[in-house]
Amino acid sequence: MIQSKNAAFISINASIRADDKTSIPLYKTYFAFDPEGLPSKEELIREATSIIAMLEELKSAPIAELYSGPAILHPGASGVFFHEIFGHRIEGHRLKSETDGQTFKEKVEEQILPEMLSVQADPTLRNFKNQDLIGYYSFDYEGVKARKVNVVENGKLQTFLMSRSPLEEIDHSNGHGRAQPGMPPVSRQSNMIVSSTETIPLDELRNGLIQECRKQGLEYGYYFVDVTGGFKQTSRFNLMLLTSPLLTFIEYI
Amino acid sequence: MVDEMNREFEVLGKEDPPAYYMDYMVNETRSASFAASLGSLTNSFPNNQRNAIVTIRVGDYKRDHTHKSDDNMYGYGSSYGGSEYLPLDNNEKAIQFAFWKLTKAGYQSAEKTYKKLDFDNDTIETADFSKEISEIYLEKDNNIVAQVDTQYWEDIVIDVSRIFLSNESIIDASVSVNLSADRHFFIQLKVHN
Repeated sequence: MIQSKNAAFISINASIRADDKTSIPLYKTYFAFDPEGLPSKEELIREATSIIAMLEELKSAPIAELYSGPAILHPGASGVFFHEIFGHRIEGHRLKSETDGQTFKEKVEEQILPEMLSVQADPTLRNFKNQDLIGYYSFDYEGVKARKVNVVENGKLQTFLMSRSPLEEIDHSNGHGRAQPGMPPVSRQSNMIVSSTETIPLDELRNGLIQECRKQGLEYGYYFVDVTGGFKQTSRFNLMLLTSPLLTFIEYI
Repeated sequence: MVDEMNREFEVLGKEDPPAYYMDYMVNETRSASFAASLGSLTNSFPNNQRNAIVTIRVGDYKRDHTHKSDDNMYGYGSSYGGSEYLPLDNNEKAIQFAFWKLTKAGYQSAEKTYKKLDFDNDTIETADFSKEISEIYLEKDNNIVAQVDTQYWEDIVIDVSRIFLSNESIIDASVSVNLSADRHFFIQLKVHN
């Protein structure tokens, strides 16, 4: 078996010295399978200019206080959140480890998400709305053909992402045995597609956040726009999720 | 790769415990990286490397050396003899030697684990490794790095990172480009039991 995969990345990183002398970073990354799919120099210069403008605003932005209350997530931030908090818990091999949280063990056919949500893992999807998808592949690292897996249908758990390490009720791989360079394969996510039968325009969602804050007697709520990549720990003994917000708006009532 | 794998499988399949599954994997990466900070080029180089990994499973599909493994960090199931860089010039002897070393280390590690397992008092019913269809798939090489225009990408990272000089409060700004063309080679041998 011989597979070929090209990848082209551009990354822009910048930090500004804030008024309180801390350093505030912002990042922007682009990915395409072919360099021709990357933005032009003119587009990159426009992006760099807008990063400078945003950093200039963040320079004097207030430091976030400890907060417990409602928050909403922009699609980019919610992608990281969903990948870390949900996605790693549906990787089959983790359910064989006694030290793992095993959150969804024995939950197949049970309602684990709201009925409006469905989740698919689809390594056969090469791009979506003109965006190349890095989770695309033809065969996994155990030589098993890639396939679309319906993980959650209308809120009900259907199966797990499987490598060739079987579980009690799932005795075959579904093409999700993946490895980082130099390491042996385990079950890992591909492209995760979360769909909903109910969608709300952003303005309405922000309004909903304000209403909820009002109801709870809070002065403001958080709208997370961008975060750094996440880090998860699904063990039953340790911390669950770490990610650093890069850009967050406060929605005042 | 194929010759060495056939030879090893023939020998280790007769050992105690027998190897019943083996795969050889090579990841070849050809890449070009460019980076600039605040208008000055900091990095511009091509990089080619080949990395080999061998997986060996001893025992059988139902009960192998991973039977009671509780390690989800480094992989669940495969014996791990480490990885080796391979020569880029297709030197047959050197490649064969690297796979021999990895196979030896992988088998020894799996054998040691297998012999510590107590199968007599075992209650685990789930198999340790699934049987899957063997596929043949040969994808054409489309090496984007072979035609890379170094001057074009150096100009991009320099010119875009220079924009950040316009603001005196910016303390760090970099732009990087990474282009890679990966080839993934995979072969497996197994016993049908």
